[in-house]
Amino acid sequence: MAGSIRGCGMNSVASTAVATPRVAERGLWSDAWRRLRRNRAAMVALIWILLVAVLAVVGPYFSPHPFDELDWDHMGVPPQMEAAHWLGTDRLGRDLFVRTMYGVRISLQIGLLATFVSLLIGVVWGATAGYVGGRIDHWMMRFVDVLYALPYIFIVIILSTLFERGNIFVLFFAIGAVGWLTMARIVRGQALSLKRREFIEAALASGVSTPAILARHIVPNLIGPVIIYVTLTIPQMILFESFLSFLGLGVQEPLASLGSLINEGAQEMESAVWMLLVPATFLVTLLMSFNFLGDGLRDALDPRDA
Amino acid sequence: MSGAFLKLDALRVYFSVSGGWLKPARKLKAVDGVSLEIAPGEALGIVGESGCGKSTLARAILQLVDVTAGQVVWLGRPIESLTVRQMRPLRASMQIVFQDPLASLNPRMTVGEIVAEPLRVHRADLSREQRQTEVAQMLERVGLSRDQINRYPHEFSGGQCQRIGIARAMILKPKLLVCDEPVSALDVSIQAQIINLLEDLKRESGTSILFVSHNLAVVRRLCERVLVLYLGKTMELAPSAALFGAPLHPYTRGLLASVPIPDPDLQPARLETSLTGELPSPLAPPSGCVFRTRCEFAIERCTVEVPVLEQLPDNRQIACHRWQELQLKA
Amino acid sequence: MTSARSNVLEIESLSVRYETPDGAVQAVADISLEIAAGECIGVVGESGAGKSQAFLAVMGLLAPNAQVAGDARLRGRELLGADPRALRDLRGAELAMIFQDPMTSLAPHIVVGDQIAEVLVVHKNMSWREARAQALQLLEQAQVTDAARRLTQYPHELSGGMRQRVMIAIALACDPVMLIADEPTTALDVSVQAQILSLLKRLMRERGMALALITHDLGVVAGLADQVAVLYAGRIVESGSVRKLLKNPSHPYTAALLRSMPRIDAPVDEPLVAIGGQPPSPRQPIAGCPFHPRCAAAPSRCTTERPELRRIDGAQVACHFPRSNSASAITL
Repeated sequence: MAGSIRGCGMNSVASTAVATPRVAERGLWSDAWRRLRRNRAAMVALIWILLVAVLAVVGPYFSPHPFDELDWDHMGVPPQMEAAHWLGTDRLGRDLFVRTMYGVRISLQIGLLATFVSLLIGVVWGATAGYVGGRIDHWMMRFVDVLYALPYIFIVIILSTLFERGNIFVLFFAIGAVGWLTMARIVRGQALSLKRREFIEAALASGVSTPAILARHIVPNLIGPVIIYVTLTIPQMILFESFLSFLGLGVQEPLASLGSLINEGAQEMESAVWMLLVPATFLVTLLMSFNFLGDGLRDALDPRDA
Repeated sequence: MSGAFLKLDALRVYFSVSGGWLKPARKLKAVDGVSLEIAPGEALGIVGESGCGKSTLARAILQLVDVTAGQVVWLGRPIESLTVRQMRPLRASMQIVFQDPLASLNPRMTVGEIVAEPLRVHRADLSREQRQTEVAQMLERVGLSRDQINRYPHEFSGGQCQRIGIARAMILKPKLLVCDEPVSALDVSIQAQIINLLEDLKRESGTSILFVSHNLAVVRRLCERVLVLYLGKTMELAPSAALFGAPLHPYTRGLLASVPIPDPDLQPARLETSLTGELPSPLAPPSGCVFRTRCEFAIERCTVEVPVLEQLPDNRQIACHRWQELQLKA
Repeated sequence: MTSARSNVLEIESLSVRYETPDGAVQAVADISLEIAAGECIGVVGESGAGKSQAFLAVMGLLAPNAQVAGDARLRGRELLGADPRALRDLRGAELAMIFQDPMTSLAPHIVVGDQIAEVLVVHKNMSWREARAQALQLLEQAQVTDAARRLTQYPHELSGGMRQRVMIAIALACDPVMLIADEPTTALDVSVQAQILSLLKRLMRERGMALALITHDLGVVAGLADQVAVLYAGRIVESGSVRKLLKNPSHPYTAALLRSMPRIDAPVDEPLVAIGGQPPSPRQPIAGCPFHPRCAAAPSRCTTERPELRRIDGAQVACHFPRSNSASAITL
């Protein structure tokens, strides 16, 4: 216990010596945040995404209509206030606002979860291949190449028909499982170039162990490019889900995603244009916002501009 | 201390270079049979043109590249065949400062974390607070303020980053500090600051320094002895005063003549006496004496016979067939 | 006196400024220089001193967001604000520039011979046959060993020194009257540096070409410059003959630079006097004399009032308290 007593004694001395005020400390993240805030397009995009997300969660509670209620008196009506169909109804009299908000929820969930799946597989696969290198890297990346060569739309179709149709988790998994390929390539490239940086050599020269090098030196430096790619992957995933739903392979009735709503709306395009416009507007603005945010993050996290 | 402090015995580091599609790999002899000893507290300079193997030699001593043949004896113990795990505790006694100050610092770590990292590895007995105190003291020792401990590398200039790199290398009080071109990437007005800092650290801590540089003027200031490398081989090894005062090897002479002097009366003439030609490819080194293709004194013998490294009385070594004749001429 | 000289390049009150989201950056401020035919001017400064920016402005090679003011005349013809097409004809024909890293200035997938020949085809209307023959001669003039074989090699097959010689050959293709060399030897070994410098010197002599040698190394300047201009924080702080500046500098910065350089010919026990502080950033302008935070003796006047460039002892100096002759004679 002598050690701990000495440690305690040192404690007070040390804290007076080191507890200096953090004078104008500018961390990398606060720096990036400062640059991001200056990017008007990215900030508008971020605010819009948050706004839509909040609206999707709380919006339906303000409406008197559940998402699957058939309002026999108002079938296929344009936006109106009297019956609280703020964005109109569809052919079956279901409230379009509530259905669109449910669609946004599902699209965002799928976008985030599928991205998370692809992130998990991609980072582990890519970082291992890149840092370990050699033969292991070679075979791991050949495997990725083979998967790339397969027409992935068929893989998803097969997966989603093998399992219960419209099972949302199968959909998450199916989309994420094909989305990780690019992530793995990006992460591997980053890990490869990081491995040759002098600060890794400095860590090796200090005797830092391999797990510690991965945890303290490789992974923190991967975060920047990975975050950027994530914000660009989310819209891809949303779009991909919409595409599957549009083909009828995605979310099943009475649930709706933006893709299935657009599919329905497209059939009524000539008589009831709002049925297409409402979900399409949300989809397009969300996709654009994610892309703007991704671009903004790329500029903000670029160390060359530090 | 009994036994060798640092001793290299016929050290060889070869890299295999793939010749391309279906061509056999070729051997690049980066370091080709270098032997030398460094005493505690001594500063040895390694000079030569880029591609002569000086950085590889430094990294081989630190076991950062694999040794092909020969021995590295550190504190009386051969280390060239140790495993990574066996080598780890020894790393506390040998540290390195790099050429590119910013690239050698992890951009995602604060200065405090960077300098503390060797302590985390080798001084697990220290508490967090003790570590912080040591780091703060070290930062002040290298001329930075302890207030800067929570900042990130990109907030510092090149010279300051190099001070951080030196602080990281010196925090474990190593017995050997390898400096790989530590001032070449810095602004002229900053180089002197770093040279003076290294001079002070060496004087106060008694650390041995292995100073790799192509800047002979800097080596002359800091080092007691100098090793001149050419295509991985020792050309000349001599105490600084002797080497800079009366260089024996034609390559050493040529190198010295190439160093610019800011004197308009001397420099224009010096330009014309510089070395001719360029370093041949290390993949196909010349036969005999490797320097003969650029040596104005080369004779028939130089193309066929590899000169042996001769031991001269005043602690000098030289590898040249004709050094005695040339000395008489000069 | 100036009228008797035939100036090839005259730079007058040249300023380069950038507007960035972080505020204005004054890269070059009010620089005036004259370079005569067959003369070499050494332009010395640390990184960020504005030495490259000034000459990139003369070449018309700055980024589009650069705001350039002032005049730059090549044999009396205004270069700044000139028609881009006219400027392009001038570049390469009368005004040429070589850079620190030749690899980035050479096209990686074209053999060296064709890159030289192309300049001749474009600017001199030669046929490719003639141009290739001429390219061989140019390589030989640039003292490229084994020139005939080099013609068919790609840039990556050459050493750094050889690539710089190829760049010089390209620059010489149209007999320029003015060559700007931006840190041409910084990336090279001292041995190759000496070779390239002596090549530049010979070409200058033989062709009566003017040379602006941009460098951070006073030793490089000593070898071939006639005149020297020392830049600090975007301004000329001292200019004059090479002998005056290196033997008897008037500005404290020039003197401090000389004292902070380890010299191969100076006694080893002489202490190296470092310049304290950091080189100034063009993003943070300094009130008064830009050198005052690092100057050994800077009275309060230096912190408030920026010294103008004035003529002292046959040199131009921007300092309120220039070093007198006797004082400098002691230290050197």
